[in-house]
Amino acid sequence: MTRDEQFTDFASAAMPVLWRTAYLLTGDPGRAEDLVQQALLRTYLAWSRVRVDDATAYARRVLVNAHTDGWRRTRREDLVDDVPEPPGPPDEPALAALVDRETVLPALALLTDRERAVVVLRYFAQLSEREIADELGVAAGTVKSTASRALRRMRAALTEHAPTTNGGTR
Amino acid sequence: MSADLHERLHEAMVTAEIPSYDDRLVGAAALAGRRAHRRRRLGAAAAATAVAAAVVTATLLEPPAAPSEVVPVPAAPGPSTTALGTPVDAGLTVSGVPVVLRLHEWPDGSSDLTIGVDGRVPSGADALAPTSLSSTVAEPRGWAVASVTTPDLSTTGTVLVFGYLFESRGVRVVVDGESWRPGSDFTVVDGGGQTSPPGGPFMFALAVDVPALRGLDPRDPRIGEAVGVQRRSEDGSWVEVPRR
Repeated sequence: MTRDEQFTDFASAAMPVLWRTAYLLTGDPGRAEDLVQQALLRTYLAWSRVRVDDATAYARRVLVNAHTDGWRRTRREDLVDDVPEPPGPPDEPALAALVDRETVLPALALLTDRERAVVVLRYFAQLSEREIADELGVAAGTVKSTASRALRRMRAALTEHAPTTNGGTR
Repeated sequence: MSADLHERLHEAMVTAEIPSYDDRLVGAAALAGRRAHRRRRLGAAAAATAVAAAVVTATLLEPPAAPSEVVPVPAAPGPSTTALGTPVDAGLTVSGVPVVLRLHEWPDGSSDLTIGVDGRVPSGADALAPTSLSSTVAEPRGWAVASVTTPDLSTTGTVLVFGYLFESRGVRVVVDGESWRPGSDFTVVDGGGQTSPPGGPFMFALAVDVPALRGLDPRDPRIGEAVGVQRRSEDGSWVEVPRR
């Protein structure tokens, strides 16, 4: 099997998960296409040193890094007077009751790029906090606190937009 | 983290409805990779440039009702072999303006397709020659097919597609109505396009290897019946571009 045939087989098999990862990270088909394209291209160029059984993980790392590079370049800090979210752990049962395939994308859209990346890698790619820290180049503690903050914000957003009963909001 | 929340989040992200991906990405990445490989050896453009050139995108309006006159002309023999490969030309006229499509096949098997208009010789880069086409052709829209007839390429069934549109959101080649996907019995060799001059038509060229068309005369109507072009519409669907 030639290099191109091997790569085409790999890319065809890996595309669904790479595409979904990219879309969950960005929420934008155009940006997701760019990320997948970059991931596939760099994987192709590194094909001789990528182990076939690890190629999907390699491509995902490339994809996440390309995404991270993008938001690092454009990151801006805005100082505010009030802390945007109250401290404390996320209300996990409440979030579990609210999140589903219909609500997850709008909830992800409200997160920052880093929060979104952590949530997607943790709960879609099912990486450990240590693995996420390695992929994003941050401390494991940062992953933990970012995930906690992201889940709080998701719950707050879903609670706010939850269906109402008897005119009241849950 | 409760197992329940973890499971709910994972399930939600796995099953959430998202747009379908485009199979072209696989082919475009492989194509860009091959080109980047070759260019690295030549010490030229970076991979990102190759990626940009691999997928043809731009913006586009509706094609016109009135067809432009497009007349295929016999392909000219290619210039002499260069150190890097053998360029091969195919020609056609668009409302009297001569257009030359030149396919360079490199020793490593990759290819580059360039366009020359109104007597200009296609350059070695992917750039199109800014041209009198937009000023000469009143309504420069539609597309035409030309095929390469030189002996070496006639054995591969390479068909060159030239087209011009306004405000393209993307174009793709189809064979027997199907776009490329893994396992297809045709290969998109190269593609590129450019709006030139600014505000003018978007001109594009695509080279596709169709083994089933191998050896046909360039005027054979089966070429035009088999090979087509689709453009992406406003709602994201692909619609046939009328052939001129």
